[in-house]
Amino acid sequence: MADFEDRIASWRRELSSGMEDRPDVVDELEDHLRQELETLTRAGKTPDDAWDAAVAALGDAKRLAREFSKTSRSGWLPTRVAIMVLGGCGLLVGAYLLAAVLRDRFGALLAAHVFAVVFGYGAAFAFGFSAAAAVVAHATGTLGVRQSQAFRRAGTLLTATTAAFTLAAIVLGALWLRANRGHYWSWDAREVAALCVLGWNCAALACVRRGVMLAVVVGVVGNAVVATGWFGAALIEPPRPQGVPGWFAPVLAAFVTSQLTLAAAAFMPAGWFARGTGGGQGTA
Amino acid sequence: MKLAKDLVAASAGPLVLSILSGGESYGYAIIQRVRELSGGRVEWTDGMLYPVLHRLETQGAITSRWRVAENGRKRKYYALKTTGRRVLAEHRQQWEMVNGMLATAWS
Repeated sequence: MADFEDRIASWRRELSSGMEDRPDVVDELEDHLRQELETLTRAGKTPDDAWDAAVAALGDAKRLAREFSKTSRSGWLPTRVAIMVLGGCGLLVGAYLLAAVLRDRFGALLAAHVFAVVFGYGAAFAFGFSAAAAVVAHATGTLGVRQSQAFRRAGTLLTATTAAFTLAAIVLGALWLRANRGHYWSWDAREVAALCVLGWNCAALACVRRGVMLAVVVGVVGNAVVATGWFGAALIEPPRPQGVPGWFAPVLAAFVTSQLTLAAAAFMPAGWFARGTGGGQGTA
Repeated sequence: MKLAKDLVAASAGPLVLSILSGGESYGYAIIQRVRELSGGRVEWTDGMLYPVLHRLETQGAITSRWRVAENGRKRKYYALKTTGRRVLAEHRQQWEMVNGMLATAWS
């Protein structure tokens, strides 16, 4: 098999490029290829003939990737719920702001900025909710390959949405400030928080692509980052004239603590909670 | 013999379920069994089996697990679930009905 290792590595690279989120499938097909090569070389074929026959029997790498893309990539309920809730809230907030603009209660630029903030930060919470569900699934040993793949696909979509809408919110906010206060930027708490949320989500987008448990941790910690940025800014610069209610700070602190605790739980072995209660299996 | 694409697509699921009803197996062994059953007369591209296996698993008819094979490498084994046995029984009824109809029509 030493003759084939370079060819197998090159074949694997070509197949993997069409099936980035299915490394398990690539492993399985590689096992098949190796068995076929063994069978053919034992039958007396030369290495070149065995390679050509085995690859032809398996089929063209691009066609394999296309066939797999057709198989049902059914999602995972928590990610579907998160995306649906985000979509629903986005429609409601959008409709409310549009009505306010049409009634001259809000300028269009400010309304667009507010929508971008709400939808962008909402997408981060949607990802965070999915990540929290993934922590629970990991703890009970039910975070399988299918669920992990669905979570990572949703994570890519949601972190990219957060980054894009937060960037839009920053730009729109700067334009609104220029039009109304004469300057683009004032380094206030909300602006700095938006920069932090943007930076975090750009990093999160890179992490989601690297591995599922890393994506889980950045998702849950992202909840703490966005909550601190969004609602914590109100503590530093309370809205006038109503200010911030007395329960606000402890509730925010409790939420941030809970998310950091969940993030820590992600580092426990798969199925730890189920084993502890006498159930359980490991994560596939 | 090259079967019509639709016929291959329709028969792949029942064939795989039937093979797995005989016990746990893995992709390469399943392909070999298909070749044996057809006496080498039916051509299947090996790669087309795996999307079928994955679809059956997503539908809940079969389950899979990775085990270390005799050569020390990881290998994915598939087994029929109770749901899969029910699905196989339904497929069998339908194919036997179609086979009966065609046999009558061609006699």
